[in-house]
Parts: sequence; structure tokens; C-alpha cells
Amino acid sequence: MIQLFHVYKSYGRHRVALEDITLRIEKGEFVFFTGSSGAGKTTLLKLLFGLERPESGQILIQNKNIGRMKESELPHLRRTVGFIFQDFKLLQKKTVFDNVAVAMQIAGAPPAEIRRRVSEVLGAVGLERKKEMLPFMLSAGEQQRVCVARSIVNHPTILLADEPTGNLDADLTADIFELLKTINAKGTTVVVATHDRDIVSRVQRRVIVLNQGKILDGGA
Amino acid sequence: MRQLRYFLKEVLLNLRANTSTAVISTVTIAFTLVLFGLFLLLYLNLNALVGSLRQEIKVILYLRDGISEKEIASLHEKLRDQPGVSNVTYISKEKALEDFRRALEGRDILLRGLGDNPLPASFELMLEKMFQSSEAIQRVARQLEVLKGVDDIQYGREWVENVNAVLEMVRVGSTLIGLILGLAAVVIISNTIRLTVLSRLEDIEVLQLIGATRAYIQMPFLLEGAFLGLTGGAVSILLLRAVYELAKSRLAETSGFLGGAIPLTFLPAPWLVLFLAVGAGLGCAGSLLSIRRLL
Repeated sequence: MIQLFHVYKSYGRHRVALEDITLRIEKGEFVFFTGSSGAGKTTLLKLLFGLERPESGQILIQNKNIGRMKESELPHLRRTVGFIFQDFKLLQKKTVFDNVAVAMQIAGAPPAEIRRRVSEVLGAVGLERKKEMLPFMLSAGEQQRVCVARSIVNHPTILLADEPTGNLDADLTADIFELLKTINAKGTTVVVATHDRDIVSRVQRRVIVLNQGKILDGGA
Repeated sequence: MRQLRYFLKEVLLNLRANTSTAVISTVTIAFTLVLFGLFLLLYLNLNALVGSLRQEIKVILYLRDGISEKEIASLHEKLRDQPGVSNVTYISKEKALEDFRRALEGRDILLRGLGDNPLPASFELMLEKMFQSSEAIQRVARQLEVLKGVDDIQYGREWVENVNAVLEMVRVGSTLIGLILGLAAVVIISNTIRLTVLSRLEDIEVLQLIGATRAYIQMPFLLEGAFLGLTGGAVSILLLRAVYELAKSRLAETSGFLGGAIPLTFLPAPWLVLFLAVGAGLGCAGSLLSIRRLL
């Protein structure tokens, strides 16, 4: 479960990114953060991932206050919370397989388990036949699927996605969202930040609308 | 263990990506250790030489002419009881002349006009190890020169002290040079690792985002530094051995190390292990310097 209580975040004196955000996302929910550019969607995701710290307020993820978490505790949080980046953030000199496997290696999984699980998730995202390829050999949609595979390989309880289809065409966007729905159906809480109203209306899940750092609609 | 394989793979990847800087670092460490090693070789061999010379330190008491047999026997007894004296040998006037003749073998023409035996009788004293420092020898000599029947006293103090002074200079010199060059090696390794880290900043960011700890990210760079240092250490040992063999063969052609007083020796095994360890240590220190600043 994700809970935010009166969260404030600003960059410098005059740029308020989030203002008095209070919301609650239940375990297993599929939620969209929507709003125009600068509404605060990405900042909100970054706060949930521990990439940014709130100025005030509480952020609880599975009852842990991540706003007050020590730097040394964040890596452990990131092994249970997956993140899909708009720009994929892949290791360019590593194969598709290794890009996914590294997340399990970091978590200390045994090699046999890594081999089995990575093949499984690459199969789920339709990339098993391209596992020996390097990222630059793949299309944007395929690279995003590698990123999805990596984000779910450690069975995260929460999956955060920041404009996961921002660089993709309509068909690939639909594919990625089908994948996210499947992951959600298996019990993972999915939170997607997007400005694509089309996809939001098609997927038909809870929508939290942000505007200039405040929740306009869909909050707790 | 599982992660070690991943770290080693990363080290190889980094080394392949920055081969030329890695080679420069290794060579720098190797030369640093070679220079230090040369001083060390000199120090160890001089130290061994001084040790063996100290064992040969004799105090010679020349007796005045006309001393009676009884006085000689009494003096002999006193010398044997003297603290610090391990062995006393009496050399009569006749024995001294015989030794002198033997030393001049083939040139005894020099002795023809000698007439009466001009050489004095003497006692040769060997000293115990604890009494072989120059201060102790002086103390013993002062006590002996006042004994009745003693005309003069001789001991090879000055030149042992000279070798000691050289030894001290070599020791201080090698420590200073070792420190300065060691520092230079750390800075060079640090720059090599810095280049590697900078070329991999994007990858490092990705690793941080997927839950890698600081230690996990830093470990391959630390191992890379250690590897460069270890390789430098190994190369330095090979170079030192080559220099040592060359010096040994050159000295064999002449008269051996300081007239063949002692055989030339190479660094003993514990020192070689220390060289590898120091190399690896310098490499790690250089890495740490870089990654602490950047990561």
C-alpha cells in the first residue's frame, strides 16, 4: 500500500512542484497520474522511488517512511519497487539478457535462478529470441520491453512507470499497456505517469489528475 | 563468490575499454617499485655485509718488547676474564714474523735486511655479539689499554662506522623515495580509475536506479585498481630480478661484491610477497581516491 500525507516539494524558492499531496493507493491497484507538463507527475513518481525527498509530509510504502529513509536503505527499496523509465536506461554494452539479469545479480539471486527467471520474463515480454542482442540493435518498443522485463524480474510489489510509452507509436503503446495490465493482474500495484489521455481512457483505471502540483481529481 | 564473477567480468570490460591508460598505470607502479626495490636490494646487501664484518671485528693488543712469560700468562688470564671477550689468541713475536713472511711469500727479499725481529707479540681478541657496536668496542678498548704490558691497541672501528653511515643513508633515501614515488603511483592510478568511472557514469546511474548498493558499484573499480597494482608489482619483481642478475654477472667478472666479502643476495620471498601487496595496496588506494570523489 502507498500512502502520502500532506507532501510538499519545491525546487528553489519559486518553483513549487507538489503542494499538499495526500493520497492512498491500495495494494494491487492500477493508477494513472495524469496532467499536463509540469503538473508534478514525474516528481511524484520520483518521491515514491526515493529519487527525491519531500520537504514536508510523509510517504509510506508498505508502512516504511521513505522520505526519512537513509541513503544506504534506498537500494533495498528499489529491489522491491520496479521503475520503467521513459528513456529506458539500459546498459548499452550488455546484452538484453544481461540487462535483465543484472537486477537479480544485484539482489543476490543464485545463477540458476537468474537464468530461469530472466528467460521467463523475456518470454513474457516477447524478447526471448533477442536475448543475445545489444540494446542498440533493438527498436524503441523492444528496448522499452527490456526495461519492463528488468523492472519486474525481481517480483516487485509496486511498479512505477514514467511516460512508459512516450517514445512509442500507437501499436507499441497498446502492447506495453497490455503487458502492464497482465503484470497488475498478478497482484503488482502499478502506477503510471502519463499525459496521454487517449491511453488513459482506453485502459479505464483509477486516474489521479494533477495540475500545478496539486491533486485536482482522484486523490484519497 | 557469485558476485565476484560479475565483478571480475566488469574489471575485464573496463580494462579492455581503457587498455592504454591501464598499461601506463601498470608501468608506473612497476617503475616505482623497481626504484624502491633497487634501494632495498642495496640496503639488504649492505646490511648483510655489515653483519658479517661485525663478526670479524678483532681487537689487537700489541705488547711491549721485553715482557716476561709470566706477565704474558697473567695478561692472558685477565683478558679471558674480561666481560665481552669471547676468544683470546696469543701471537708470539716469532709467530707474527712467520705470518708476515707467509703474507709476503715470493717477495721475502724485502725481509733480508731486517736483522732482529721487529714485530711485537700480541693478543687477538674476538668480541661477543653484544659488544660489537662501535661504542662497546671503544669501552672495552679503554679498559684494556691500561693493562700492564700493553703497548698499543688497534681495532677496525672507523670503516665499520662508515659503512653504517652509508647504510643509514640508503635506508632513509629508500624510505623517502618509496614514499614520494608511492604517492605519485596513487595519483596516476587514481586518474586511470577516474577515466574508467567517467566513461561509465551512465551505467553507474542505471545500476543505482535498479537497487545496486554503493559497495556493489564501487567494487569493480576497486578490484581494477588492485589488479593494476598487483600486475605492476609482479612486473617490478621481474625487472628487479633482471637488474640483479646483470649486476651479479658484472660483479663476478670483477672481484665480487666488495671484494667477494659476502655473496650478493636477491630479495627474500617475504619481501616479494610484500612487493605484490604494496602494488595492490597502491592500486586500491588510487581507486578509492577516485571513486570516493566521484561516486
